[in-house]
Amino acid sequence: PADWARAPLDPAVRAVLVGFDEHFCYAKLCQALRYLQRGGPDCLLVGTNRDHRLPLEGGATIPGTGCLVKAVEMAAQREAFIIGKPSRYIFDCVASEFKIEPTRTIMVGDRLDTDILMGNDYGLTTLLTLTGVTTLEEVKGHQESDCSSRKSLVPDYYVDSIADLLPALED
Amino acid sequence: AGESGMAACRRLSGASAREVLGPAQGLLFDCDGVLWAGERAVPGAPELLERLSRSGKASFFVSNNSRRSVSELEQRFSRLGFRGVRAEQVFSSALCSALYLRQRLLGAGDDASPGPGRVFVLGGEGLRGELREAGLRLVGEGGPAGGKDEPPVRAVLVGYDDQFTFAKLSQACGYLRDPQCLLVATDPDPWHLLSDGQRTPGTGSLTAAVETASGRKAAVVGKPNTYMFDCIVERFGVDPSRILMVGDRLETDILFGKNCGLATVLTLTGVSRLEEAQAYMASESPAAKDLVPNYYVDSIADLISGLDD
Repeated sequence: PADWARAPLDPAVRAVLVGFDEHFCYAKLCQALRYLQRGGPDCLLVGTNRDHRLPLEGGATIPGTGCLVKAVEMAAQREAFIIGKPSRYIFDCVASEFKIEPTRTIMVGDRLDTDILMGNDYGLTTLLTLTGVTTLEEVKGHQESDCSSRKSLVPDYYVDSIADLLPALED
Repeated sequence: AGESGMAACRRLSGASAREVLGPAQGLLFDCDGVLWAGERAVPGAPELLERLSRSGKASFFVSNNSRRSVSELEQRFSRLGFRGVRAEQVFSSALCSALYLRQRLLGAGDDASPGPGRVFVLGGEGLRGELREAGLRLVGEGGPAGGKDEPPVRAVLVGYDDQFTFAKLSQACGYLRDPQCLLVATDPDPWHLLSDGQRTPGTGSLTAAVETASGRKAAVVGKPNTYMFDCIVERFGVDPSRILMVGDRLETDILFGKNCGLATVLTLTGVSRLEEAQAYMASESPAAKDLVPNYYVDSIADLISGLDD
């Protein structure tokens, strides 16, 4: 680390962007911190998303981008600007590009704290599909909770799979 | 020592130093930024320790730095000009993490103990050495590789790991899927100061990644949590009301002192600035009050004037 801290910094760097990086390592974390220290508020800290885990086939999971974002935030003692769901930014990108009317739009997703939360926060109808990370038991837990932030994770509807929507579209 | 009411961040020197040091049984020192900065002893620090010893006062050392084993620290003391510091006076987070895990993984007669198990360590050789010395088995060491008789992994220990990788993070999470597997961190420090003033990421930042991926909260051994003080009391039986905690980091050392019931002295040769202590003192938040030191000095050499010749 003493050597890494002596490596020259690129004078043009104005932002640190944390995305999914299976080659994440201490040396990179160190560099990120150096740029953020050098630039202060003039160096942006941006994270693509906060997902804790990514599902693999067969039910295994690997750490998500959210873990790497947290590591950088903790080292730098500052909060990243998050692009991805459930943040406003990514919703605005889609909504403004395509003139979306929230009341006539359905958000379909498998993750409560990103897909469903975003849909609920921005007035979309929300539909949970059970082919991904979330189980019905988890939803029931949030539904029965007294906590309002947990209630905002509850979708309007659910399907076992998005294929279940086909019959509704047949002529 | 052991004052009640809000800490007032009073400067110590001469008469006030004598008033505070006089009744003290001993002093507990953080190391980095207090005794030394990088490879340089803080001027006057070795003399202070010698004078304390001559005055019959005990000195103990408590460091969150999980890179170094106690014997490496002992050598460091010697190399930087500190005489007469014995290994038994030194409490590193590496040592205390080993003691913590030994109690939980190997402790006999403890009905909460799940039995002997291995530890997956995110950390360097200094930390590993302390764990091995405590009788703990580490993942990736000893025994037939992948042998089915290997004891299960019962703890993941996150320490300072400059070889941390995504793959190791993933491996840690695999072990943590077992709810019986403990998640322990050597210390919560988000960053450390290098000798040139730059910051390098600390254990706290790696722990944040593991906690996020696993959905678990780590049990943190180091300051400001009180376990390291428990280790000192266990070994030396000190009276907290007569011990002064001397440190350079408000959120770590001073809060630790407060949590253990010790009077606290901030030294300005390390991380925290006087303005930060004053800001906490002026803050409305009750949590901020716990970060205000009772006293401060520019350097621990200022304490020499508080001791008899």
